[in-house]
Amino acid sequence: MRAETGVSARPAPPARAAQPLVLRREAFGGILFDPFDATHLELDAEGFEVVRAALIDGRAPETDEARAFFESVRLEIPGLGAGARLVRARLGTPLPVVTRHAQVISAPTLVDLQLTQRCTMGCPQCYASSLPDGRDIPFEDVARLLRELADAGVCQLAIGGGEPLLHPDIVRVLELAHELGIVPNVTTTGIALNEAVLDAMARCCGAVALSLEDVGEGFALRRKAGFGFFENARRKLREHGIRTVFQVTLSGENLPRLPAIVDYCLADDDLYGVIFLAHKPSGRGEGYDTPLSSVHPDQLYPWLREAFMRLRGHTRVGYDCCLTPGIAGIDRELQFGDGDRLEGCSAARSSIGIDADLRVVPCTFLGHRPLGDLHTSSFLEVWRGGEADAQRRRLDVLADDRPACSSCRLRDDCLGGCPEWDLIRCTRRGPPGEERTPEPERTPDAT
Amino acid sequence: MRILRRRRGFTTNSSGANEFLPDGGRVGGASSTPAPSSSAQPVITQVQSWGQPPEMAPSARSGNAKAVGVVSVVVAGALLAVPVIRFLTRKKKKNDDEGPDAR
Repeated sequence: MRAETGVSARPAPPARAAQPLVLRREAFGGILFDPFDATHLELDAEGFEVVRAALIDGRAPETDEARAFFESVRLEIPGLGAGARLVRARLGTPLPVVTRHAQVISAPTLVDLQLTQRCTMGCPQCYASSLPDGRDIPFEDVARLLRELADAGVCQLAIGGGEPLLHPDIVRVLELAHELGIVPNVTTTGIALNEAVLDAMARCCGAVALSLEDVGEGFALRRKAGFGFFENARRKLREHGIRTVFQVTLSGENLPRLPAIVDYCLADDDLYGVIFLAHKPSGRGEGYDTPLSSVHPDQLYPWLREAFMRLRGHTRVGYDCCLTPGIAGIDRELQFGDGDRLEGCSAARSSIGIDADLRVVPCTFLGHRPLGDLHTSSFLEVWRGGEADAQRRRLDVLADDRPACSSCRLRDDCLGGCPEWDLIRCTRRGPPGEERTPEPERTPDAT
Repeated sequence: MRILRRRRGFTTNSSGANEFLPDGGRVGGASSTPAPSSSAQPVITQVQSWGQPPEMAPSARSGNAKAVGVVSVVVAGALLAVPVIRFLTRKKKKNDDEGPDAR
C-alpha cells in the first residue's frame, strides 16, 4: 500500500513569503523564533543579549565566547545576521516566573484558535462536539484578535474547529495571520479543500494536519466519509506542495490498529510529520473511546516505542504534551538530551486556547475552565490574570502531589501529565485511581 | 551562554506544542525546509517486532456488545426451554396416565 501511487511530476509549490524573525525577552533570557521552519530557541540571558545586539543594534559579537555562541545559533537558523532578516522584537519587561516547576513566558508562543464550531462530518469521537449549525467567529473579531496576538509576540497559530475550512473567511484569516508575522497551521478533515483555500494554504501555512485515527474500513466508522475521502484530501495537499501532518489520536480502542496506521504513514514518502496525541474524554469522544490510561504501561510502552522507532527515520515524529508521561519512560531510547527536553502540559505556560465564543481557555479540550473573555478583556490581561495563574498553580500541585513524581529526574519537564484527566500512565505512578490530585486552593490576589 | 531549549517544527495540534523527537526536525519531505545535513539524520536504534497487541480495559462499546450477547443467550435459552418443558410435561402426564411400561 503506497499512498504515492499514481503521482507524477508535481507543480512547484508557491513560495511562502518570508516572515520576520521573532525576538522576545523572557525571565530566563529570551526566545528566538524563525517562522521559516518554526525553529524555536530559548537562550539564556547572556546569549540572548549577544543575539539582540547583533540583530537589533547591528553590533557584531566582541569576544571569542560570544562569537562562538552566535555561530552555534547560526547553525540552528541559517542566514542569521545583522540586517539579513527583519525582526519582530518584544523587548519589554518579562512576566515574572510564578510557579515552582513550570516555566511561564510573557505571552504564549502558540495559540490554538477554534475558528468555528461548525462541522458536517459528525465524527463520533469529536472532542468539540461540533455540529453543522455551530457558530463562526466573525472576521472582524478574528482580525482584531490576530493583531493583539501579533503585538504580544505569538509565533504560531493552530487553527481548528469545528471544521475551519467551513469558515466563510478562511482565506482572509490565513492571509492576515501570515501578513502579521504569525505562522498559521490548520487541522482539517479535508472538507472544502477548493483551489482558493489550497492556494492560500500553500502561500501562508506552516503545515496542515489531517486527522487519522484508523486506516481503511476502520476510518469510515469514525467519519461520514470513507477512507477514499481522506486519501483524496491528502492527494490535493500533496499536489499543492503543502506540508502535511497526520495527527493520530490514540485511545484504548484504536491502539491495536497502530501497526496498520504506522505502515500507512511509512508508505507516504512526502509527509511533513506524524503526531501522536492522547485521546481526551471530552465532548462526544467521552463516551466513544477510552484514554490510554486503560492500557498497562508495560504493554503500551513497547508499542509506542515501536511506532516512534519505525517512523523516525522516515519523517518527523512528534507527540502532544498530554502524551508526555508515556514518552518519559522511553526518553533515553529516543535519545533526548540537553536542549531536546520533554515538555509537559503547556496550557497557560507557553500555549493557550481561544474558543469560538472568544473565551480564553487553557487548551481547547478544557472549555469548562474559562480563563477570561475577549469581549471584555484584552488577550494579555487574560494571560496575566488570576484565572490563568490558578491554572498554572494546578500544575504545580500536580507535580508536588504525586509521590512517584517527587523523585523523578524528569519531573520539571514532564510535570506529571494532564492536570485534568488521567490520559496515560507512567511506570512510576501507582495503580489507576491513585493518581488524581485534589483541587488546589485558588489565590484570588495572584496576577 | 547557552541554548536552553530548541524545538523545530510547525505546530498543528490542539493540545500544546508538538514536541518532535530529537533530530526529528530536519528529515522528511517539507518543500521549503533546508536540506537535511548528514549529522542531523536520526540514529535508528533496533526495531523489533510489534509482538502481542496490548490488552485494553473493556470500553463502553465493548461493554455494550457483551451485554447484548448475554441477553441474546438468555432469551434464546428461554425460548428453547418452553418446548422442552412442554415435552417433558406431556411425557410425565402420559406416564402417569398409562404407566411407565405401557406400550
